[in-house]
Amino acid sequence: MAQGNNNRLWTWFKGRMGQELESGPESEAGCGGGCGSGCGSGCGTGTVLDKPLDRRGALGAMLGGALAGAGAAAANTSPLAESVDKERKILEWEEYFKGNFRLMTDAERGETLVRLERLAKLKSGTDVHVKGDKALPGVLYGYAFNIAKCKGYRQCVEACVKENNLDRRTGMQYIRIFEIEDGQIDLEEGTAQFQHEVPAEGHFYLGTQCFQCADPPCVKVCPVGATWQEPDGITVVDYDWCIGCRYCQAACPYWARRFNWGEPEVPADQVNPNQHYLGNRQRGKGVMEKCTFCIQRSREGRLPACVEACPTGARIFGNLLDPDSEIRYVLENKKVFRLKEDLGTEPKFWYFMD
Amino acid sequence: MRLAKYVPLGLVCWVGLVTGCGVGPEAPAVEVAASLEFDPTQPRSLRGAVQYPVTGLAEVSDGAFAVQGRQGDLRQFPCGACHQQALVPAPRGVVSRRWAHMDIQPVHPQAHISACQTCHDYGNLERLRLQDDTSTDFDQVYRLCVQCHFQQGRDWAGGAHGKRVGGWRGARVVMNCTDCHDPHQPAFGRQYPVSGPRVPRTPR
Repeated sequence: MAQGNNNRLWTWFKGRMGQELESGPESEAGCGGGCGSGCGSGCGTGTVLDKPLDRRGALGAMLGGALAGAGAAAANTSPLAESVDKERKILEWEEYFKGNFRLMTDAERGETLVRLERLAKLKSGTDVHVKGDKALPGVLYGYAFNIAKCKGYRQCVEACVKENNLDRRTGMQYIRIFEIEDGQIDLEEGTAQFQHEVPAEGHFYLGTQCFQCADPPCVKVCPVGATWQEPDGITVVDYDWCIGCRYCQAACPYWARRFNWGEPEVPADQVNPNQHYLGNRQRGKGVMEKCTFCIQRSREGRLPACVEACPTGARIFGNLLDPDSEIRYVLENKKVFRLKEDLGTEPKFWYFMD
Repeated sequence: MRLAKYVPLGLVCWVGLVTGCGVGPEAPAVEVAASLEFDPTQPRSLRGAVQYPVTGLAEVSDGAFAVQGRQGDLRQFPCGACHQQALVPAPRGVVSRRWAHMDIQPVHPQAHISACQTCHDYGNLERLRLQDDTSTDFDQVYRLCVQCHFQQGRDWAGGAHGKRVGGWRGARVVMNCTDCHDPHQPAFGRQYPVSGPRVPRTPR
């Protein structure tokens, strides 16, 4: 019952968003006496500077103009710093009033990507390239992990942190390598805290990360639709739509989601400039994030950073829909298992042995 | 500018390597055309990489996938630079500790079942000897390894063993056996792990 209500709400919400995006200006209500100097002649018609806008966009543009005007009047610094500050504030306002990435048109997506690149330059001086690549047709990503090959060197973890611009201050990591005694099957008996020479005698190593479930419980519980599954099977988060309620973190049976309690910090010289909107771009304080199989790499045909970094070849990645792929060979010729299969989340991440 | 004076030297070395080596590769190398345009069938990091079609495996047809070149990575190649005469085969079980190869710790294959000439072709040191008394070059070293390690060879041909170069899409090019394994000491060694977790896992 609750599910039905939820669905109806969601359909209504999507319909409403789509209607607004298509019909555009019908937003006279947003422009009252409070409209400042930035409002201009377009006020009352829903257009700012003769540019057709939806309600959200119009509100953002008006407030942005007003704020920038006020900022310029109050600022008492050099003209250059002032203009940079003004540009940053305008961009931030426009970002604040943008929509959910999934509901954006291609043009709107393009605009926000440009804004994000510019903001990264203004805020931290880094030249980044933020992509919005869509899922490739006929592709469903799958992953296999060879527990006989993994030696626990954790080079995948290091590569992941660098590739995905993970917070260095709190030491956030997506991947966890468990050291488990031979013959044990219970993960609770394993430890991820090992700090000795590996491989240790009589132990095997098993890595976990986001398994990109085909029926992801984390997506179902999101109250705002900030996380969803892409057509290529990757579950992604719109960091600018996430409200930070952490329901998804609680719902994930694999402990795969991470929360930013503070502003993530990455030294400017260590920032990976190859970024994706749904992947490794700059996150803010109070939002969730997770492994995306390195969406910025996999969607351009490359292997995820962990696969590339693994020195023992324990990690296999590929297209499940391609019968000639390596992942399909593993599934067809090896004895594979998945973690917590009885939950029915259908992870696309298999473990196997030689 | 300082680099410029090394360029002629490098050219001479390169020409020497290419022409001085009397033995050509068994399968023709495929040089992927370098291009700045994005080609979705060809991962970027593969452009310009030298690769050789895989031949002589029972599991797959010849040329089904390609293997990364290996000969160019050998530091002391060509062997003829030092070994100008054919070596006299040492008796089985006797491993000659010549100072020129002191960095090699021959634990594999075990000394009591093999000697250097089990794998190295003493008639032409720039090639490897197969068990049927034919030889192969270092780029096709997998043909030597799969003679004993046929199970690994089968998984390697299918994709469960080894590593793919470039990306998951497009032409399949994989690393050679000796790209990851030291042929004289093939097991992965012990080392300290990097990047330990800082956030403790919630205890039971």
